[in-house]
Amino acid sequence: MTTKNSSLVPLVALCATAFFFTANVTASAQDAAAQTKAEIERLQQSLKDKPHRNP
Amino acid sequence: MSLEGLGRAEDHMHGARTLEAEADAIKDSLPAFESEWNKASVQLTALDKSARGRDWSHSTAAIRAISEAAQGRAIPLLEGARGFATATKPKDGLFYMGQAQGETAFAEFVSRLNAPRKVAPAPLRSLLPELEALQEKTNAAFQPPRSIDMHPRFIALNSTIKAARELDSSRAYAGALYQYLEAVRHFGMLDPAVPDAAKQASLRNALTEELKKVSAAKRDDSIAQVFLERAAGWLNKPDGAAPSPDEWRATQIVLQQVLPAYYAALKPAAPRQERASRTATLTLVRWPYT
Repeated sequence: MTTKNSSLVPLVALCATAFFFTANVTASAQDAAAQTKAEIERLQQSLKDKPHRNP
Repeated sequence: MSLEGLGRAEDHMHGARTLEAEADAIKDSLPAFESEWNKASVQLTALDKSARGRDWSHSTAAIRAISEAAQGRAIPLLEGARGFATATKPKDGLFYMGQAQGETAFAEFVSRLNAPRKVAPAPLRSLLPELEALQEKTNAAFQPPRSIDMHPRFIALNSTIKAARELDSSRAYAGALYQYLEAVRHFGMLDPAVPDAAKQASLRNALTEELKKVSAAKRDDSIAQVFLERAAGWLNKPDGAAPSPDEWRATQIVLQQVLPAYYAALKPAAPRQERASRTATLTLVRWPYT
C-alpha cells in the first residue's frame, strides 16, 4: 500500500505527458482532450495543495 | 492513452485520500470501519446500478469500454476492502474503499466526455467463447518454471480474464472486449522473446500503418486504437528515450496478437462445442485485482 501511495506524483506527471502526446485532431476529440486535461490539472493541483502524507 | 493513466491516478489518489481522511477516526475499530463501509456501499451500489443504465448509443466504443471497465472494478474493490479490514486490520480496508470510490468517479467522468461517435458502431457481442478459450490456454500455460518465474504476470492475466467475464456477464460488452484484449496482451507477454533490430523497424512501420487504418475506418475501431496508441507511446517517448525490451515485446504483441483478436471479436462467435461428459466446476476465491 505504501508503494502505491508514493507513486501518485509520478503517475499524475505520466498522465500529463501522455496527454500532450496523444491529443487528437478532431473537434470532438479536442473537447474530450480538454476535459481530460482539466481533470489532470485538477488532480495535480489537489496534490500540490494537499501533498499526500503516508499515515 | 492519457485516459488510462488518469484512471490509475484517480484510483490511487482516492485510495490515498480516503486512508488519510479516515485512518485516525477508524484506528483499529472494526465497527467504525463497518460504519464507513456501509455508507460507501449504499452510495456505490446505487451509482453502479445507475451506471448500468447509461446510454452509450452516441459514444465511441473506447469511451464506453474505459468507463465500463472502471465501473466494473468498483464493487469488487469495495468487497475486497471489507475483506482486508477483517483479515488484517480495519485501516487496511480504507485504501481499497477509496479506490472503489475513485473507480466510480472516474467511470462517471469518462461517461461525460464529449467524444461522439461519427462512424458506424462496432458490432459488440458476448465474448464468452473467447474468454473460456483464453482461460483454458492460460491454465495449460501455468506450468513450472514459467508459473514460478512469471507469477505476477499470471496473476494479472487471470484477474483480467475474470474482470472481462464479469463485464461480459453484465452485458458491458465494450468493457469486456477491452479487458479481453488486455488479457490477450498479458498472455502474449508470457513469451520472453524480444524482437531484433530488423523486426523492430518493421514493427514501427506496421504500427504507423495500423494507426492510419483505424483512424480512417468507417467503423468505430476506437478500442483497437487505444492499444495502438499505447504502443505508439512506448515507441515514441516525449523525452526521446529508447523503448525498453518489454515495450518492444508488448508492441509486437499488440500488432500480432491483440489486433487480430480484436478483429476476430467483431465477427459473429463460432458455434460452441458442447462438452461430451459432465464436468464439475471448482471456483477458487481470491482477491481479484492484485
